[in-house]
Amino acid sequence: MDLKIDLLILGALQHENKFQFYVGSIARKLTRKVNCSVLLLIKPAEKRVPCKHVVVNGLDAPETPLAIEHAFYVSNLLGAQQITIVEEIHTKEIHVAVEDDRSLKKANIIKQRLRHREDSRVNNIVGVLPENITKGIKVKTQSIFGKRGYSIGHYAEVVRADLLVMNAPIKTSIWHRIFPHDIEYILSDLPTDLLIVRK
Amino acid sequence: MIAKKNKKANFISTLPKNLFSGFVVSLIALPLGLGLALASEAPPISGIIAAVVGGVVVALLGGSNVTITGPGNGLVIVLLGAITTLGGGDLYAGYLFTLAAIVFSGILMLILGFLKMGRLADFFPASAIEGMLAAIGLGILAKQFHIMIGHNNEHGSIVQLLMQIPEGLIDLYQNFHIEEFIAAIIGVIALLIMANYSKIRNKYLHLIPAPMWILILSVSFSYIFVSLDLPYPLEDKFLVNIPDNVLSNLAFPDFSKALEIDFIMTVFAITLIASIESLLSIKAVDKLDPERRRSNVNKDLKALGLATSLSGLVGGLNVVTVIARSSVNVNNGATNRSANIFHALFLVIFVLLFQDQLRRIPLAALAAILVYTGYKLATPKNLQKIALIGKEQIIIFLATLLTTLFTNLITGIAIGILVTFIIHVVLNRSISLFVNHLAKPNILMFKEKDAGNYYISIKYFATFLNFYKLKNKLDIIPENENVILDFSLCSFVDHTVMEGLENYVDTFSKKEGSIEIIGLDKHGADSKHPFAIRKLLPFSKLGSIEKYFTKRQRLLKTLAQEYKWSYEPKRSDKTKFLNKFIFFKNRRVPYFYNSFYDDSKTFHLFDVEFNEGEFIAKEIVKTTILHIKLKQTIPVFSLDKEGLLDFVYGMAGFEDIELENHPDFNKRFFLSGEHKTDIQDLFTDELILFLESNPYYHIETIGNSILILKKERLLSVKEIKAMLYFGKQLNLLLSESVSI
Repeated sequence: MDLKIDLLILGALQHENKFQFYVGSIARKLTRKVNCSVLLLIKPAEKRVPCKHVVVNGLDAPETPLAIEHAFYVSNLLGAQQITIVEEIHTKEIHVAVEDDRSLKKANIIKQRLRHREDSRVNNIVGVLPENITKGIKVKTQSIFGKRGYSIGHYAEVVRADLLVMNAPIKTSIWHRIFPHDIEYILSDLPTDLLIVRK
Repeated sequence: MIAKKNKKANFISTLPKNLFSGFVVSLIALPLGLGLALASEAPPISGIIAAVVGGVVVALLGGSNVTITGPGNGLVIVLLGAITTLGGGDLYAGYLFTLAAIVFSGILMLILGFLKMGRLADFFPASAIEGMLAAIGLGILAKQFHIMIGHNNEHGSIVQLLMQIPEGLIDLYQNFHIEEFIAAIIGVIALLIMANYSKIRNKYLHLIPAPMWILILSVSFSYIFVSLDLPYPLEDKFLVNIPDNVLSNLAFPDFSKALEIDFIMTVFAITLIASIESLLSIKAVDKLDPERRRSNVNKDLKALGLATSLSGLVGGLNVVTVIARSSVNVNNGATNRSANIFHALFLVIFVLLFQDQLRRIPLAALAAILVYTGYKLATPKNLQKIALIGKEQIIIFLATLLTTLFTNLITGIAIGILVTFIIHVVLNRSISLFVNHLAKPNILMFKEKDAGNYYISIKYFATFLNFYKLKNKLDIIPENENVILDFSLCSFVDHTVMEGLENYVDTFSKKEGSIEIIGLDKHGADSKHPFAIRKLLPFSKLGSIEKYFTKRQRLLKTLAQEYKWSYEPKRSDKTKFLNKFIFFKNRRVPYFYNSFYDDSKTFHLFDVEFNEGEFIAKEIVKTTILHIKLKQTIPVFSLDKEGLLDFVYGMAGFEDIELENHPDFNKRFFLSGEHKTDIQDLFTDELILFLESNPYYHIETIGNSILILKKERLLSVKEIKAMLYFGKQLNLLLSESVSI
């Protein structure tokens, strides 16, 4: 059965407890199963809370440009003033283990280089977007070295973002909840409203 | 290439310094090595073997800079247990089996190093470690006390031995035995020397460390009998036993018990304690290092493992990094690992040259040194300090201490961890907080684009269980950066984390960086967290001291009224301005108090308290300081009394600046600084005359302010008056000299 749904909007609990996490609540289950974009609202309110700050992932992945484009599109519609693109970088990419002053210096040089690389990659993506959706929005980039998926969620919480836009996860099963990664961290502990972009 | 050459030149130029400090350390390492081995019921020479092998191997392969390695306090109890149980009564057989266990534990440590388990020591709650150290201290004290009073054959568990102490003292009276009595007198005198050494302030006395004084005095005591042609009143069993030929009498490990469960448990216990002691010491020594280098703990762990195995193979004890000897090393001006090698070489020389004298050392004298060491580990002050942090810490401390005393170290520390965890669960009334979030990442760190500082946010909880995650993040930040640590998303922070963070804050501020902890304010107010976190942050805890004024404080207050100055007895933690002074480069100043200043705060006189060393060798020094803000900038210099120990305080790499036409001044004072000619211009005839005619003070400047101090103790009100006068005159002369 094909209903040709573009966007599914769901209300969701902010925190899942252990039982719900493994067995799955309805909202999460749908999020994992459906084939369209999903918007999870953690605090649905009758009175509209203005959306000021949107955080979007800037992972080095093929779906990322789409997610960023959606983020701009949505921001434009909701009147958000700022978008932060978060580049999560695997700590493994540094290749140097910090053990003493020397390796510390080396690691920091490499990190700086990676930051530049990621920034320019993301800027290229933003650069080719149509001007009518990027106009008037402040764009910030932030690179974070840490666990993928986890860091961006924590970041969105810290900067009190109003919406978090993420790439769609690849199919996840119970296995991925036992060894959580990427979006599972965010799903178990929703930092804010979450838009998952699927084609 | 040039850097390499410089390094080499630097290495050679610092060799004499390292040679000297290696020598001083060997003076302590000799009695301690013999004593620690005896306390473990191993042949005395095995302690020296450990120090020699450790000194050479770790210096060549290790990753730390100014540490000293050798036999450690912490292991005495484990080794003693191993030697007595594995041998089944036969101490020598037990020693050989234990050597095999030492070899294996070295291999385990090597593996830990390769697995990068330098983090191992981070998983233990601070109060549990304190409890364990206290138990080790009591263990050493219990056994050695009997030997100190001439009773060589007391056996039993730690608790039994402690209970027997009064009995032993009575026995000394009732069954009077001349040899035991002499041994007891030597022991008690030695103990008095250990206890009072630091109170006597004499430069020449302090050239030789207290344990060496004890050896020198007790050995020369035996020579008095030789010169009088009398038989020495102590039999061989009261004296140290050293084989005639050390090299041909090496003991070799016996591996025949290697598969038994007792043996395996011993290996684990030795490895655990050796690793913890070493890792804690390395961290503590890093803080003392004047150059603030960061040790590569994993590399050090590998080197220690290898050294331990080699030492075990030739009959030596475990090799661990030891804080007491390392801090002596730093205080005597060591700059690199060569000091460790020199300490080993001097030990070899001592053992080969003074065999005869070493055999004259009474066991009671060595035991007294160990009783003092044990007492310092188990001092009631530690419990007091812990009680200040919180009642729950007392429970953790006592649980660890008592379990260790009645069972063994491994069980003790395991109970300590368990009790800590249970207390955390009870305090939070939630086990799910810990269980749900333990495996998850909980830390976010990023470098803020606009301000350029690092921001770290911690979620859920931060306790000893997951402190390593936070440490991992903090460790990869250069210490000269500014960090903001945000706990506002974190609902529980324990004592171990707060204490650990305090160390980081300290290291960062010393290297011109900073760590600011935010988001903890609401914790204290939040009734959901009875574990009042704000209490745990040091300094705010330190209550009002006005209520209990000492006589000195009352006098200071009247003095302040006379001068129309202000007097503020309260403690203040704003000690940052002191960090730039050389005197405080490797001393950590937590706070100053009794401060005394004029309206413009040009003159500021205060008491400071600082620690030298950590955990095992903590020594608290209090001193009175006069700090003068200058109106104008003067060249940076430091001025000290000329003498043997000057380079302890002198600026690294700068030599004594000679002043023309003032031979007497040159002879009496040690003046150092970078800009030689500027300093020479500054010292006018008038200023020199003033300095020559006044009592000696340590004076140093950092350009816009001067620091004056007299002694490493608090000054009396009279001395304070003299110091104030001196400071005022000096300020006047300096400003005149600059304006000329």
